Amino acid sequence: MTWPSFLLPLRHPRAGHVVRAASGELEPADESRLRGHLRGCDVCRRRYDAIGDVMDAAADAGRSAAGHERSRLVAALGGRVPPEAEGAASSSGRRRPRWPLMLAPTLGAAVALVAVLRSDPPPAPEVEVQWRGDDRATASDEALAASRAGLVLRFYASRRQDGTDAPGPLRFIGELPASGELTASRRDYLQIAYAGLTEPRHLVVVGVDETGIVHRYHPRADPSPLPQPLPPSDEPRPLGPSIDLAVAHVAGRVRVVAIVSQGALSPDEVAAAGRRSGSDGGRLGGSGAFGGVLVLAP
Amino acid sequence: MTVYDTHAGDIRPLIARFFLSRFEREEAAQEIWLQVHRGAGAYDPSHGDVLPWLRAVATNRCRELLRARGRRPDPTLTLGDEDLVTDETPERRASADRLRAAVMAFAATLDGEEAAVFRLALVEERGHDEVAARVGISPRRCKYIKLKLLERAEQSADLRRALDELREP
Repeated sequence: MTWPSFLLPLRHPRAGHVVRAASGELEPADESRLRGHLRGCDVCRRRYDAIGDVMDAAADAGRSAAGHERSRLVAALGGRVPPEAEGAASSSGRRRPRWPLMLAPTLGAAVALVAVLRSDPPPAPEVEVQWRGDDRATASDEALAASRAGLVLRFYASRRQDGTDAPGPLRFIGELPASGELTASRRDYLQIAYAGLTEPRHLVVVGVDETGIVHRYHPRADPSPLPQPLPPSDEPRPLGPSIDLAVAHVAGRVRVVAIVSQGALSPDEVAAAGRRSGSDGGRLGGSGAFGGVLVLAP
Repeated sequence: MTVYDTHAGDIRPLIARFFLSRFEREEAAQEIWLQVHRGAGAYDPSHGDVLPWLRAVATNRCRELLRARGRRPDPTLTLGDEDLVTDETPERRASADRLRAAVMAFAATLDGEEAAVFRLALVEERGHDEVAARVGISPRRCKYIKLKLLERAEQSADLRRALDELREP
């Protein structure tokens, strides 16, 4: 009987064997022998785990794009939109045709954002926000990441203690753009932090709830005299004080939109920055918009 | 096998509470179900449903396996009903999301046959024959491309970073 070479002492199996085992392509008898080797070999076991995790992640991405996450997101985005935003969005002749239903409320959010931040007339509604869970999102992730200068938003929540307003322990609830969907309660205080920023960037973060109310998360008020860019930071740094979600928020879904830019944005530039997200260059030298959904329990 | 088919999905998250490594989880699952098979006679339906019994067997076996490897179970481990729902923490979910993004960034660098095989075989989890028919190649070539893609993905620096992060306890 000829034993496979990888069963000889101190010999690792060929790379292909590990890959085939992890992907379920190896014959049961061969796999059984290979598992014997894996039990005693950290190196090969790490490879086996890595390949399995890659497969899980790829399948997970497929399920997310095609399955319930997409449905839930479409349902969430199909909620009510501020009338003025909806009107402005429908006046645009440059919306991309492939996902108009997804974009319409998103455009509304961006236009509403501009309308709230500034009293100037609303700009052309051409912001395209990269929503996780959509197959288009992944295609431009790399370019979007470059324009974001590595910035990610981390969200923490602290539950209000029973009978008092005192916050409880802080817990991490997810990050954008990676997590896509975050869960908190109206009984929580929300703390937003940014991290991973490699260059100074301006940032605008708002939330639009299902009733169409726009919540300004950053900057919290009109900056005076001029908005300052966020300093680079690898570690999480808070974006201002906590937000009491019991105030002005209702249970349901809040679409969170973040727009990153190199310079302070005028209303028109906010729209243009979002429109150019995923592309390099432009007058602002690169800017990006991304978003997610904050699900608020009562 | 009926019990396995019905409850394997309930036991898997519990095992994941004990073991981060995919290989270890698979080994533990194998051990648990073999033990269930051997000890099926010990289960008395008059004492309750089969699921709590399975949970007890699985929990004890996982602890034994950890003990045998010189590792103690996490003292903060809780084993309530919620353990059967999910093994996710927000941190782990965020790490998994980052890995997923890295995998899709890797996929975005592919084109032609490779892109099609990656999408159909790995993202959509279709069988070799179906993928081959759709792409217009032989099943054998489909399998070859898939395995080569997995090897390359595992060697990608970005993916390795994301994988390391996922494995941090």
